[in-house]
Amino acid sequence: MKSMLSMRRISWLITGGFILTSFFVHGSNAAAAEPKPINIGFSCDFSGVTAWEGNVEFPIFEMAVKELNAAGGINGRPIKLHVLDNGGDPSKTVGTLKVIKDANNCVASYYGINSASGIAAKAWADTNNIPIISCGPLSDKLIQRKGKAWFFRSNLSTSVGAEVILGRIKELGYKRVGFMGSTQAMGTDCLSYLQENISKFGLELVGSVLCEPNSKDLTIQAKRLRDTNPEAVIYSNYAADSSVWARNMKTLGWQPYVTTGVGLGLFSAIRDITPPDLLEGWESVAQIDFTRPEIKMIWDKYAAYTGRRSDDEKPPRTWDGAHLLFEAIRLGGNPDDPTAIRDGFYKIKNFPIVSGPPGAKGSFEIGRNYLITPKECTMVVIKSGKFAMVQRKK
Amino acid sequence: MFKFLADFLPIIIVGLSLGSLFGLVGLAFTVIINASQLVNFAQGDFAMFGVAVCWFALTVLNVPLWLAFPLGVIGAALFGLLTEKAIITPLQRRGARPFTMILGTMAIGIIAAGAVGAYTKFWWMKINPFLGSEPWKLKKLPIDHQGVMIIFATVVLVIGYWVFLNKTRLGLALRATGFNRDVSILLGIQTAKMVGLSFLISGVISGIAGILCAPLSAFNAVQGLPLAINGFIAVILGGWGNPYAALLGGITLGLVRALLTGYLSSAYAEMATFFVLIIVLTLRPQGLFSRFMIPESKKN
Repeated sequence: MKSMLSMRRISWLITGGFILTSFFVHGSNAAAAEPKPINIGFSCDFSGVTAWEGNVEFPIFEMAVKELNAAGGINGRPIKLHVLDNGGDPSKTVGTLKVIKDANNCVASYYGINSASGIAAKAWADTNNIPIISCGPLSDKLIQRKGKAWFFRSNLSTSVGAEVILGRIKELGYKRVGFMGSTQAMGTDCLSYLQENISKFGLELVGSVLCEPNSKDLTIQAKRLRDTNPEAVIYSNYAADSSVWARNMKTLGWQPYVTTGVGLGLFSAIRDITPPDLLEGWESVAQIDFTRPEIKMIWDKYAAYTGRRSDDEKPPRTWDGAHLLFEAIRLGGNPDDPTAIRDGFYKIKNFPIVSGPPGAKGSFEIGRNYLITPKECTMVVIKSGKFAMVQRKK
Repeated sequence: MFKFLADFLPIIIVGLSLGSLFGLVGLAFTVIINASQLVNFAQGDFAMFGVAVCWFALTVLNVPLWLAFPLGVIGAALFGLLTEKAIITPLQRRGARPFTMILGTMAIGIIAAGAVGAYTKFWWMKINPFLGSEPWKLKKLPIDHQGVMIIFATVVLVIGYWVFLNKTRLGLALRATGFNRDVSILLGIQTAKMVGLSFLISGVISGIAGILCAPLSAFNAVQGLPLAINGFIAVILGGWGNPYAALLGGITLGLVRALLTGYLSSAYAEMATFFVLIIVLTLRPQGLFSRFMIPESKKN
């Protein structure tokens, strides 16, 4: 009896030890089998003046990451996003990027939206050697003409947009051009480009006005510009100020041809907050073609994911930005090395993008760290409050 | 002559309408300053909240403007009252310093902006011009009717405020609280309620200012602060503690900005605002209109 009890005790001990050992081994194996994630930062405006853009771009990027991870990630490794709010402020942007690099060990990052913070982000990336992809800032100061960049963009740059709309103005037979813009980089960059290059298109810049952000009334500025008698007006300003401009032009009964190079993201915001009769016939450069099925697919995906619609170029350009980053990580060959990822951007050749006309392919080159060139650009016009593609001469 | 009017009239209307806006916010600041000796850093957010409620009523509840406007004003007034009940009164009971209470108003303003921003995703709260997009014409001179409405509303509000302060018992009690709090308590005036009333009135004025200016340019959750800054500058320019001086300070500010924009460039307008402020603080720190409409007995 005594020996049987001992045997029972021994067998319980053996069984318990076997079970414990199994858990331990399984746990270790599970940990060993789980792939190490690729840490990517996401520093964006979730608060502040441009938060309305950040709140569109993040869901798209997150969706792209989830799809990639569901398909096995990059070489079997999932992407892990580290999301921080930079409030649209340059110093906060740098702060978030520091956290992304130092605390979260990220090998690359996304940045959005405004140019002032973008310039700060670029300077930080150049110093800290972390590649950044961005989908929002317009400033030409983000263009790197020499050497390999650390900052890349999937949206168009001010000079690209300006070149396209000058071509359009010339196509329409106008000669005298006026300009209205923001006193911030978006406006001053565009004005500088026009002053240097407009004569190459056979056009004349007859007048320009700049206005402070959050202006409540621009009647005086509109009158001053009208008095220079331009046939076409280029504006480069934020949505709220552009809406004020439209209203004040109407007050003066002044309706020239109006166009902008700010892109469809801002143009659609202007359309949404301005009475439609004030914008009839206004045109804008865009980097998407509505007729492409991929565009509708992304718009519908965004709507299904968030419960609201954003039928403009923010979802497609963010989609492109995300996939270009994934491709750069893949082509870089070493997802743990930021330099390899940066070099991976330059290895991207003929990558299918949803921006641009059907069949458009994307790449980056030394001297061009932005995706969209004039040949990927389209133009849209507002007719009865809705967008329509402009049919341009080839 | 027509050309002179065509050039000058827009400048004057823009200057007066913007100035009235700044002056109204300055008036709202002063109402609270006089009753409680506090600067309310949520003043601009009172206006923003009024716009938010009006916008919500128009777009989500689909009520007409004639109903949405007063709802917005009531919303702003209640936010003002909430600020007083949630921040000022509890802190006063604990013997907090004025600086602490001022920080408290700043905090509630930031919370309100964040809450509205979270709901709207910081998108613009679009309110169309009340009388449509077509401007009025005065013998072919175009007039922006929204701007005229702001000027008219300012005149009505200021007259109404003067009548309230000088011809009603409640107004008299409010004036007494601002003049000498301790004596007012001795006279049986419930000064705590007067402070609450000042926040309510301030909310009403800010709400009206915000909703009137929202059709000028789209308003979002973070637009309260720029309005508050200009309103505060109007108070300094006009004269601390004098509501009518604050209004005149705002109008002066609006006219200076409009004239600079008209004859130089709007790039200088923002800079000019602070330049004028420095000059006034240096040469006449009591404000340009500090003695305007002040009773003789108080002028010493």
